[in-house]
Amino acid sequence: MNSNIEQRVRNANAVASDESLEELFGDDLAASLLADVQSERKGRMADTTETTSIPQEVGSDPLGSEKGTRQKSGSNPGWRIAAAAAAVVVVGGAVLGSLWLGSEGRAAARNVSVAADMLDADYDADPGFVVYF
Amino acid sequence: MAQKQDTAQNQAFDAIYRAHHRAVLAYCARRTSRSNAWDATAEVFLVAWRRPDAVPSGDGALPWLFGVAYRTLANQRRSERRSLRLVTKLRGQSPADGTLDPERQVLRNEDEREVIDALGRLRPADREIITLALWEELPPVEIAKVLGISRAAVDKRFQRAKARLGEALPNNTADRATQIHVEEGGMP
Repeated sequence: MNSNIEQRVRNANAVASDESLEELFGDDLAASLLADVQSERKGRMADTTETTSIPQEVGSDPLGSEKGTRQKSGSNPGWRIAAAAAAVVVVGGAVLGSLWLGSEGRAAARNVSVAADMLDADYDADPGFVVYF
Repeated sequence: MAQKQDTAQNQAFDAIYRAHHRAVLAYCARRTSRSNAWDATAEVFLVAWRRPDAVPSGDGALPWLFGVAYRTLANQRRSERRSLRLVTKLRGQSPADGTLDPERQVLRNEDEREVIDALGRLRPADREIITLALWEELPPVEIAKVLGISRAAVDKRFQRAKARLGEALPNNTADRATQIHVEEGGMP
């Protein structure tokens, strides 16, 4: 009886033979697939920062004893130098930015103070006068 | 010296590719759409090319390639689900099950559609063990290598998955009555 389920599953195999595979992908699938693999390989070799790792699922034992290794970008000295340089640029930019904003802010506060002094007389004279900043 | 090593590496890859590219492509085509299957297969062999030391020699190569394909397809499905969620969010529709190619389902007869639908409702691990056994026709020892589990666990999980499939299949009362029966001697 159980084999009934198995037979039904076997019958539902969409790619049960070489013919159905060729029907799906064409007769020259071997050559064209290899060409795709080669061109992808060349493309990735051109990008020297790219690494091919064995895909893994989170929380699963990847391939039994044949564990794949995912290269971490942090373990590469080149990346470390680039990350340190980027951090220096970001921190430096933040410091310079805050200094500039500080001076601008002080100038703006002075301007507001002067404007308020100038408007003070009018404001006292006309309680309906509204100042928009 | 390095050139000699490269040549040996290329020869090893050629042998693996010639022996297994159809099986890997068929494996992927049974689980996803035509174009995704093609991309996933290329990715699997790219991994084999770039990491020749990781590919087991002899009979161990195919289960290893299936293992990589299994994970490549899982990653592909995850990114597809993310895109699908985004698209359905934008359209305000409920997402469809993206595990099986709808174009191909149209061509199936009613019984095959029922089986495919029931497989689609199983947990991915159950679905995988059933399809590895009945579509890829791998023996339990090789399924164990693909999934990274013991041979005994393969037998137990296969029986459980088959019972769940029996429950998920409509018009399968006869099988449901006998699903508690555990075959001796392991899987087919």
